[in-house]
Amino acid sequence: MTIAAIDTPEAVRRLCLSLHLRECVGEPSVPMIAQALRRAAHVLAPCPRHALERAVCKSLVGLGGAEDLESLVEETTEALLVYGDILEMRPLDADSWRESPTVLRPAPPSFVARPDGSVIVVGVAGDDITPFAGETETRLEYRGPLRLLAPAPQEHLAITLKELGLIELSENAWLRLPPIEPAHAYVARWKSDLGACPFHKVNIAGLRVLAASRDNRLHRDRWTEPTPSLGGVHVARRPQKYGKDVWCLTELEAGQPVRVLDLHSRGDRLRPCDIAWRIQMAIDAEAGAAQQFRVRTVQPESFIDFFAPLPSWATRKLTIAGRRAEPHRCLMSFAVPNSDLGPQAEFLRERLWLQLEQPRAGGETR
Amino acid sequence: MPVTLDAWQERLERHFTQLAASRPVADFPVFALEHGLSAADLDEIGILLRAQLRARLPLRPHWLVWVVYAAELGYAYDGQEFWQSFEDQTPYWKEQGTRRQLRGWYRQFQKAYGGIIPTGPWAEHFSIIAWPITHAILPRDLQGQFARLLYTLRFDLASLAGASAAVVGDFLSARGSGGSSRFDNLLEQTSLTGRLVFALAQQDGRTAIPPIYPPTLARITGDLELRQNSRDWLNDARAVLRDARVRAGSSLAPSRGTSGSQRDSSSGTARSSQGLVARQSSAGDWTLGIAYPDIAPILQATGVSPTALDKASVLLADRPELPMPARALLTVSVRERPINSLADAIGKPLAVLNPPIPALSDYLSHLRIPAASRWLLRLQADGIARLVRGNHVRARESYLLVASSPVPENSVQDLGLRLQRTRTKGALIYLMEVPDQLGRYYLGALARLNIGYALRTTIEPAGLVPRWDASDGSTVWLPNEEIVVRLSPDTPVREFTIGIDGANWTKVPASAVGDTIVSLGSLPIGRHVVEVRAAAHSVVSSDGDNRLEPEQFVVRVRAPQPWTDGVREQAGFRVMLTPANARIADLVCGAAMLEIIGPPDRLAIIEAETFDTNGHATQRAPLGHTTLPATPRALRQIGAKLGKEPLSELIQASPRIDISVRVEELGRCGVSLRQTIDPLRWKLDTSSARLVDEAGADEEVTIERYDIRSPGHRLVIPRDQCHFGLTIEPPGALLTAKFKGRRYSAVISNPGRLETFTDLAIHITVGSRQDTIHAVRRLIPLYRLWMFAKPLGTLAPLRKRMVLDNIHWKIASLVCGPEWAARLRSAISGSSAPLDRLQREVGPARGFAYRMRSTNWRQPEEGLIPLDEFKKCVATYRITNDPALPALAFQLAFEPDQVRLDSSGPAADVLDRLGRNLALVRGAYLARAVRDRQSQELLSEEAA
Repeated sequence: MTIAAIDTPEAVRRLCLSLHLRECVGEPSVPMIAQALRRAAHVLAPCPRHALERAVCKSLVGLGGAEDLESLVEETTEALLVYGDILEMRPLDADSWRESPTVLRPAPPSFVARPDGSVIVVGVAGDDITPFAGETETRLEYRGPLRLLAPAPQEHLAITLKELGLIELSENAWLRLPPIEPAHAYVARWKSDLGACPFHKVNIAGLRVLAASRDNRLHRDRWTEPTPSLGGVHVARRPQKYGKDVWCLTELEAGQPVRVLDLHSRGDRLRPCDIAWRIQMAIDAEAGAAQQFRVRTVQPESFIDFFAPLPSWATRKLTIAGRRAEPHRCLMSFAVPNSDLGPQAEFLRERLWLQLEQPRAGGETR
Repeated sequence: MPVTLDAWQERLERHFTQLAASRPVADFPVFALEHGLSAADLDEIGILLRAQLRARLPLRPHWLVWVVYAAELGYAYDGQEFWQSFEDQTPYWKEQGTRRQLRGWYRQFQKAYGGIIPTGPWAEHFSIIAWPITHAILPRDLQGQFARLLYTLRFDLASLAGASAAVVGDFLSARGSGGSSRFDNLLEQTSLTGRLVFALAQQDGRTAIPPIYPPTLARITGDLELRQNSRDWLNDARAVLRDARVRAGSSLAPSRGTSGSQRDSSSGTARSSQGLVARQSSAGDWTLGIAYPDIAPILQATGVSPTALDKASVLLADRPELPMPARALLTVSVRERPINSLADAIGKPLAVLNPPIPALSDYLSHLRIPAASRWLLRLQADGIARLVRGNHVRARESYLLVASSPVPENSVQDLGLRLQRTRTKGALIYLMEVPDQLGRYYLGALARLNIGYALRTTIEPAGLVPRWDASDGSTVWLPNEEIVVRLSPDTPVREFTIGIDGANWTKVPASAVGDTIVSLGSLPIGRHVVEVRAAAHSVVSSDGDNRLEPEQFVVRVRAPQPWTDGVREQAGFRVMLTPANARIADLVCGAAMLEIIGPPDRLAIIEAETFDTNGHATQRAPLGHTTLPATPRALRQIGAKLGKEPLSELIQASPRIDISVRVEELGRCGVSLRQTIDPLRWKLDTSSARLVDEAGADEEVTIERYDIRSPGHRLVIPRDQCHFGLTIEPPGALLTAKFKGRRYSAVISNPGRLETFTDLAIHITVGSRQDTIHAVRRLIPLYRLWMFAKPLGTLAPLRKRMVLDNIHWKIASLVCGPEWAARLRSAISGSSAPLDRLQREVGPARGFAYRMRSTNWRQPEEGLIPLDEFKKCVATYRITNDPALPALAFQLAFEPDQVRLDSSGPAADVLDRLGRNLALVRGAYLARAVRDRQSQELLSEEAA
């Protein structure tokens, strides 16, 4: 044992080694935070999301890096939830503690095959964080919050991984795609569920709703506190004392909530935010103002730009086909091979009722 | 020029003589696999030995060549009948050589060269094949499992300081068993496995005495590294072991007398002052809980085996009203669990065993949260508040003050305490946020509540979220995690002096700006106390002190848990077997149940996977699927499938069966059930049965056959007829091999051609020379013989059941009278004969007969087992005063296999006395008929 004072870049370098990362930039990076979150999820689970984020944030304070460490940790947690490294579920009956309506649990180590022969590795391997040893561990590529593994020459990667105990997730099981249905049917179902909730006028301090907008590309601007002019059914978030605001659907009468339905899916297959975003897309489509996506072609790839958040399953679908890219005057972008653009656009139309942005004069959309 | 067998014999004698001379210590025996021959040499030897057999030449002169040849076959052995493959590859062996001869040569090898002697229960059972397999060191198909075990235990092995090969082997055996039965057998060879660890750790090092002949070791590792996963495991394990060796500068690890694990066990768990914790819900209210300590080191320290827990129940402090199987202690180990009431947990033992387990119960009785009127808990980074030992507060920290009665109002005011909402009965919880500067009033208010304050240095883990063990206030780390901490003194300091376990004192300059980041390095497995002393600047604190109190940070380092176990514990669903120690037969007959707890509306796919003795999966069979939450009926039906064809035979013949449940992307969980595989066992090849003999029983074994059509008729079969297979005519037979007073039996079914359902029916005659009650004395052992025989082949469980039923009714007709018994049998099958008449014919005591008919025999009066209920009725209606009869009558009717009528049992005339009390026996059989009907009704209800 050697006791020594170390500076922060050195501390980060050593922590990266403890987190099984070979590459280190001297300050907390997304791959490092993702590994720290995976490790912490195993240590703390089942735990509320805010407890996980707070614990990781606090452990990284003073180690340099992003000015807004809190946001970086939150975004990385979100990405791990989207890709399925960490699962968000309601507590089990067998769980001892009841701290929060939803808790996080590490997903079991699994992999999803990609068309190019590589695999996406998801889940947390307990104390080991990543379920590999030796040479295989050194081959693991950390791309942001994702972990990718390419096969070695002559290697049948799926067999090697299954022999190790990893679960092979079919594309369908990993994507958890909801069924294809018309927007109006989807909205009608949720409205019916909301209609079954008790009717009483309540004041919910801090309630925010997604309102209709002339340009629904400005997603952030659509969030508003209910005003007396607002009525009808809206996607909303209501605050709770601790933890993130709860996603809900609310019916407003002159700006006052009369019915409130917290969003969750049976079996916790879909995250509440995923449900909320899809409902909003359906509401917009039903109102004749479908949300849009934009396509830019920069050979040899095409970039699909989005102006509103996507449900996790749509993010997964686009990740398996391509990769997440730097957003370009939009909220998020994905790069996909040109050959795959058509099927992806079709997917967005069928499942999320999105429309391709019409080209402007000299514009980018083809 | 071709080399003769004589020359090979001489060469091997020279080689092993030199090898033995190079190993002067008893710890380092010689293995036959260390022959130093090339693959081409071995091929040539094989050809010569086979030619020798063909030519009927004497084998003895080349005994050493045979020893090497057999060890090579052991190295390639895949677990499927050693002798069968030996004889297949060595034509004419059966005629020329014997197994005992081979064992004799191995013994000669042991004496001549200090060869290894197979040890352990497996070696005793399989007393011949144990030699060539043990001398094969690490057979190829076990290499992957061994590499994985080394990887899993790498840090523990590294901490086994200066231990002998036998100690290392014992450790592997204790921690590694449970894989496959063959792998467990390997682990029983403790000096072998210990040697192997040494050899692999030192392979690239320079040691005076290589534990295994280097070319042989190179061959084993070369084979082992053929698979990517094995290569990864082995390389990582060797890196850790090598590092430990380098650090220690000795053979394997530090040369201190005690291992890390031992240090951990002796000092790892405080014997008192257990942890109180509090967690806050998203609504803001607090729940108190208790932190259970790590149970494994407590079991180790008290010398109690985990299996001893199977015989006791436990009352845990968080569930004081609910006795649980004592194994629950392992489940709550290092867990924090909520309590309903403060009074439940304070000042009382955390766990009470019933009946007490010596040493462990005493230990547990000391584990308790100290009785007090107030407890101070510090709010930590993960949002959980944990008990503060020493009752001291620090500036700028948040605390919870837990009290059983209200804190005086003046203290509430002076300390700014804010009362919190709580879900724990009898607890008052106050939030206390300690300010930056503590004035005199504040300090005085703290003192009134017996809370101290001192300037100290906060020590917090940096970069890695700590695993807290709230039971003793330590943080838990892994040996491959570098411990980096952040030091934040309460007042500016010049430098810190840091020591670990009272040694290695190191001065570290304090950072001029902000916290000081310090690495403590990676610590070995065990409990360590890090002490930080700080020298303050000349600036004095408000109290005039210029030195800070030393601060301690307790660190417990443990080996990583295999990830497959860790994942199971954290999974989003659970699979359990109730009772936990149930056997596969219990699951089949409904005496045990599978339970799945998981999110509703999820699809659970349930499969059975069978494994062979090597731990290789042999078959995966779907058992069904169900939507969660699963109903007991659905789960019972799934369990019952294991007892039906086509699974039944496979299940019976497999040493390990895993029932696995896959719930979509939440993963897979399951339970593993094991059963022992006998060294003598029957194997079915289409319509012939063969005796697999791995015990070296040879001529000492006697074989009998009982046909299904006449299950009481014994036929002795010559031993050699079983070698190539004994043809079994339809519908089948029971075969039993008797060896050293034990029977190895199987019911072999040959269904023949089945064209209609009526072909399923067979006529079974349970004959008896004398049709008197004394024939029961012969029928009971016969019942047991059929009962404990393993069913093999299609319809075998059904045929076995039919034979058992026939013997059962034969006994019934002998003790109750043939006509009454026949009508009772018809009544159960539902074909005729209502029970009313049978009830009347039980005897004059109508009340007794009524009770026999009306009692719920599946679940009698609360707290009573059926036998007790029966005895109670017998006593109430004065059916007999003879104390031996009630239990005998009941057992004959309900569980004939339990009846003991040998000379050591009840007096010889007990059957005569029983036969004279018709009411008693008829009552017992009526009760059994009622129980069977009740079971059928229950199944029908569930099916409906």
